[in-house]
Amino acid sequence: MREQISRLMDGDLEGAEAEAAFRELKQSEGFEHWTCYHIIGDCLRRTGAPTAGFSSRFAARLASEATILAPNTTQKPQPARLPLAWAVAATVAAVAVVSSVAVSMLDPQPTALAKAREANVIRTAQPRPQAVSPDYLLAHQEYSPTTLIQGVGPYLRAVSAGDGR
Amino acid sequence: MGDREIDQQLVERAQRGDKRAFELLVSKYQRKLGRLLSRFVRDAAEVEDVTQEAFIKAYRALPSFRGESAFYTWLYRIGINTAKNYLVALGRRAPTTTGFDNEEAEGFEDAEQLRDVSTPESELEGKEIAATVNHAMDALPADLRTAITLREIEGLSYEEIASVMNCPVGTVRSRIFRARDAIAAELRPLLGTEKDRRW
Repeated sequence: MREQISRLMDGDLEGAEAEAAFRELKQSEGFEHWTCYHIIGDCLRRTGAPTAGFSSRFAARLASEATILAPNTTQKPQPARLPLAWAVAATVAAVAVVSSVAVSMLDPQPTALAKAREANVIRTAQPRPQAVSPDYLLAHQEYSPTTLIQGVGPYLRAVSAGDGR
Repeated sequence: MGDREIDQQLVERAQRGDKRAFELLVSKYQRKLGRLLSRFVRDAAEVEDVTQEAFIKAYRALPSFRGESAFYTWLYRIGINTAKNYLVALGRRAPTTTGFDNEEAEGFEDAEQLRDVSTPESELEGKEIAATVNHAMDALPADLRTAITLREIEGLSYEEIASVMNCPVGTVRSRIFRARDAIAAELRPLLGTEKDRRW
């Protein structure tokens, strides 16, 4: 137990071992070792002479203080920031993705178009053969359901029919 | 885990209601803080009063301690302000030494700069303790004495000491503990137990 306290003082304990040492320090004996080892260190460094009775007088004062129950406001160590290289790489990657998407939307991909032509997949649109004569449609357009639609639809149809003549 | 992390763990325990954890911090820093505050106030009784008051203020302010600085840096500022307020209340002036307002001053340990505020009795007790520690140090085998000197006076880590002494870290760990334990065996009769805590 004494060795654990000695190691804890020097920052040589972690995790469960440190927890065990902290538990020992709650006991009177552990506290005595802690105090004694620190007095030795202070004497060797000439940091200051111990004052007789200081601890017992302070313990009495502390006992009369209300116990603190503070929310954990301690700042946890922040993870190391990403290196600049990572930030630059992320920016370049983002720009590349956005650019490729934008280009693919604007450019019809010539190679794919050429292949489609070779396969004769793309054909010029042909006007549908009219089963009903345009004159008939023009004469009866007021009965067409498209007249119920607000806007320019009926007029476009009429113009289209006129052009088809 | 370094010294700052140990203090931080004790602070967090104290913040969760563990008064004993705060007593451990007091036990660790009372001599260093008392020595610092002896630059401000004249006699030993006043130094102890101001030191105790500083610790009580620190305890009350503990919820606001966020670990942005080391615990001793924070305690140091509280101690300086407590001493200044104490002197103002008495109508005295604080020393004008500029070094006390910057953090570099917290590390000073030069005995020559400090006024001796000990009473004859406490001075005798302090000398007895120092003599016991020195005598016990002299009686240590050389490898133990070197290890604890490098740790306590030079502030080297176990790894650094292992490198200097050309031995494994486990050996350093063992040597430092054995050195402390041997000195403590001599010192303990002077210090008493926690029941009659004299120090």
